[in-house]
Amino acid sequence: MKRRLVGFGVVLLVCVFGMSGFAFAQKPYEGVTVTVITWDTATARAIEKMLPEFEEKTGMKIDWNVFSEPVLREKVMADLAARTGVYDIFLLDSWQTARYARAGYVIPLDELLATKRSEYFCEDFAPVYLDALKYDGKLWGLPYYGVVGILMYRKDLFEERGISVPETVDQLTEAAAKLTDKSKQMYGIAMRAIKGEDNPIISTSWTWVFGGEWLDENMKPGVTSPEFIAGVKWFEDLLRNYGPPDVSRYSWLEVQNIFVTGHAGIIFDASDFVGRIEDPELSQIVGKIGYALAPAGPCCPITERYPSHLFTAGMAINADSKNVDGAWLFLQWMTSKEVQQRSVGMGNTGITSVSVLQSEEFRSAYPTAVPVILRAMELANPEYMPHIPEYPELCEIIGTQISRVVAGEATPEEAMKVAYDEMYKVLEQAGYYK
Amino acid sequence: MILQRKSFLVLALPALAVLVIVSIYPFVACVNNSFRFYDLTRPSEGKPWVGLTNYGLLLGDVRFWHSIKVTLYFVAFGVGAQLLLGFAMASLLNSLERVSKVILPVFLVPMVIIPVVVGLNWRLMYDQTLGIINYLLNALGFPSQPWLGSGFHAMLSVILTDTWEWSPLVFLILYSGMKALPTEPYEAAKIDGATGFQILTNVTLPLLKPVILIAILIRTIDAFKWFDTIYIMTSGGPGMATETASMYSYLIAFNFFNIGKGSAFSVLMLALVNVFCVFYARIIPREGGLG
Amino acid sequence: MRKKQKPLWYLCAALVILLIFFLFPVYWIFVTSLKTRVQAIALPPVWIFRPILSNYIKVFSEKTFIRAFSNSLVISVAAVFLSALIGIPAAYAFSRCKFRFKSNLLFWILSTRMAPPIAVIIPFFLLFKDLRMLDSHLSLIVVYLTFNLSFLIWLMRGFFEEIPQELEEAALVDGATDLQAFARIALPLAAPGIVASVILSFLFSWNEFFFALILTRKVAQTLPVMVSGYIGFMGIEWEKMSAAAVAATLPVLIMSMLVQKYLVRGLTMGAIK
Repeated sequence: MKRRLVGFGVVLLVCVFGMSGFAFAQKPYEGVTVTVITWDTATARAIEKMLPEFEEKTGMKIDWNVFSEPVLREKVMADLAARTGVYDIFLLDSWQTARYARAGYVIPLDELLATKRSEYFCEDFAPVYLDALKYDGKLWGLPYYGVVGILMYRKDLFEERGISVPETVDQLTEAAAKLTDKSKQMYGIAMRAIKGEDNPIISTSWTWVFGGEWLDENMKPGVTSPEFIAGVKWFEDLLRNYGPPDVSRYSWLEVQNIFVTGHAGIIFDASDFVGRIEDPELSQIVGKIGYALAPAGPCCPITERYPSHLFTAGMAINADSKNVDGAWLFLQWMTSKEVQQRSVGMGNTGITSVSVLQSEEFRSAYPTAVPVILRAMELANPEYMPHIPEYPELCEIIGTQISRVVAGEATPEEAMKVAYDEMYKVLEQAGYYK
Repeated sequence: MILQRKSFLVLALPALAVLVIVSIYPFVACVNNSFRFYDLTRPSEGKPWVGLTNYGLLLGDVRFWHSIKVTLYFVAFGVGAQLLLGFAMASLLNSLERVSKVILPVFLVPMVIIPVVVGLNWRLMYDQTLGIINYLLNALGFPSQPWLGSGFHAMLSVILTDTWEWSPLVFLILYSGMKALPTEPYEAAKIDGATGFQILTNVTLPLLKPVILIAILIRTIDAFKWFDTIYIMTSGGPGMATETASMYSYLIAFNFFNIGKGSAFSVLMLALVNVFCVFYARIIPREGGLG
Repeated sequence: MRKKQKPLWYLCAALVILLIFFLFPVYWIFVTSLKTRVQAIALPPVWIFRPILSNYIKVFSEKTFIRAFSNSLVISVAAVFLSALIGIPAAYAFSRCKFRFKSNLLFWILSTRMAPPIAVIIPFFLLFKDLRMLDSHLSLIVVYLTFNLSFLIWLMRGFFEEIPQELEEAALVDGATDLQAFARIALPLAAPGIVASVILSFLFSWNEFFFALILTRKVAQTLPVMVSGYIGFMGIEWEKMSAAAVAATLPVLIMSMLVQKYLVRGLTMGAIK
């Protein structure tokens, strides 16, 4: 009898412990898999390392996919065309936001923000990055990676030749002239001028500060205005006279390479260059780099118009996702302040949270660059590129025509006339002129 | 003709069946899409029938015609150069029997490397300031060239890279063709006292015709579609000097998300390739063997 | 054996020039795989440096690389094997048969290779999605099989046409079936063509990028897609990419070295008897 009681007691104990263990093992998202596809950046690497913690805490499995930009676009497009909903979260950059939002491929986050905000949510995304992901009054993604335009220059050469940091575009031209010595393959300045959609983010930053606009108030192309053409002319002359001879094929890669091998005195490009050009594994000029705000154009001071080169990569939730709640939670986590803070130490320079940008850790990683980046973010204005669904077509047209000018294939007037006609066709077919 | 109908079917049916089953649906779908408005940025509008609108838009687009022109240059000069170089390589190796076992895999290497890597590598080599090609040119006393910086040079460079990459294919086809030739004609020619050149033109080339034809056809077809290395090296620039039809259609389909227009573009390209292939097949009569 | 009349040194000089032309860029890629990133893009170029094997070690220890490598291997071998299995007999059939629409049919076969990938990629994607074959080895094997068939049939047909029909006719007279004639006479004589077809089919399948990209995700990802992953956003890992690319060339090269012994001189008619 006693043995039976003991046996019963043991069984009871086991059951109790077992059930409580079972209760503890039930995590909120057990059994849910969220599939993410994003660009392969330093941020992505950092996040990938931290995934196990998130999975441990929530029980969610994250299917993490990274690809380069054009490749990612192709894969996401096939998924959207078939509406498979395979990727719960995918990369939505500021260029694509309007398009995808209007097409209904992504869900607006406003309601989720209002009702299901979790502890992870980053309260202080930089407004300039957050706005880039808004369209039609709603928010479509959370900023995961953001950059602004800054000037990066060889401060050792500036000191040597007594050049001061340029504050107007004319001073920039002078500085570039003083640094150029073509016989030694030393070029004053290098910027992107490659054909296609890659250069307008740079080149139209400059036409902006000359007073030019992509579109006028009636949504007609503004590229033939005298201000815009003046900007294109300045861009062409600067690169033709003081840039590398084949600059019309320069993408970010060539701009970076010519700078880190010591053959360019000044470059104007994205703030996330900082992480790479200060990396001794890549750069031969570590410690010789100065950072400054880009100069003002003739039309206005930089407080009114700044060469912004603004770009935001956001992460959005697929409208066909079957795990919206889980995806939303992960989305908040991967853009959270904590994750961003920890990624600073892993080489991420595309931070989107203001407090992380101002943090001690980020400042001490790039002491001379960070104040410049912060100020540039305050000055940057996303207005210089229209936030409409037809943006990619317009961008490609402008980029190709400006590249032709730099290559010497056409005068600014001729090229902008072609751009005007093509942009007009696109906007007309899209129904803006009814 | 020695095959019976039944044997023909046994031998050929599996392949034909696979081809029909796998390729019919996508082809029909592509043609179907070409007659419709199919824009992935406007899914709510569906895929309504628009007849020849896509074709009209393309045929009226100056950029379309320009891309066709660039493609024709690329194919004509590229395939031509590959044919000459491939034949030279095959003849050479055919004469140098002793080293052929070692040299053959070596000759194949360029086309074995992943095209994306080939494109990136050549892009760096072609850089006017930092590239190794200009560095070597300078070392030999020649001035630097704007390999990818001027329209004319870029076209040249793209064709050069393509020739570098695909001559090995022509080489392999022609070399194996040479190896499969019977020895009688050569012995007869030697007895007749023919010179090397006469042997080449009167014996080798005629016998190799079927193989030469397939080499030309395959390279032409692939060159029309070619995308990877050009995209990486020039993105179609500078200006639009190297924007081939495949690149422009890629832009339309994958940047502007217009599948309808992209499909129409592809149908037009298909028609063009067909014209070329029919032309070749007519000009090079297929008298191969001695049968 | 037939000998060229030109003096040997002309030929050797030509060979050396060709080798330099073809091998220098390869050498450049190979050497980059042994450098650090700074050295890879330096100007003046770094000729003398201490080679490091760490790039290769890093690449080979990545699970994604190993999986991509084995996927590529499985898919390419299967595609080549299957396409040779059904393509070579078909090629023979076309070379030994006359019927009314033969050239049209042959042309249609060739045209299956003409389709630009962008035109058919979305339909293929939808098709495989409905068949639940996305991200599977089978989907790529089927696609590559189809692309290789057209090329293989045309190439082998060319080789079979070079072989005089008398040999098979003689065998038929001796009592062989036409299938036996194919297997015992035509096939061995067309060995060089088979070698070329196998090498090239393998190569096309091994290096194919676009379909592999769109139709696979993680499970069946192939080497070209994986290697392109070294192009990060705003950063290219040259050293690792070169190392991976060099490693990726090995299977094709090894296979070429193995099969090239079948690239034998065409036999004489007398020898067959």
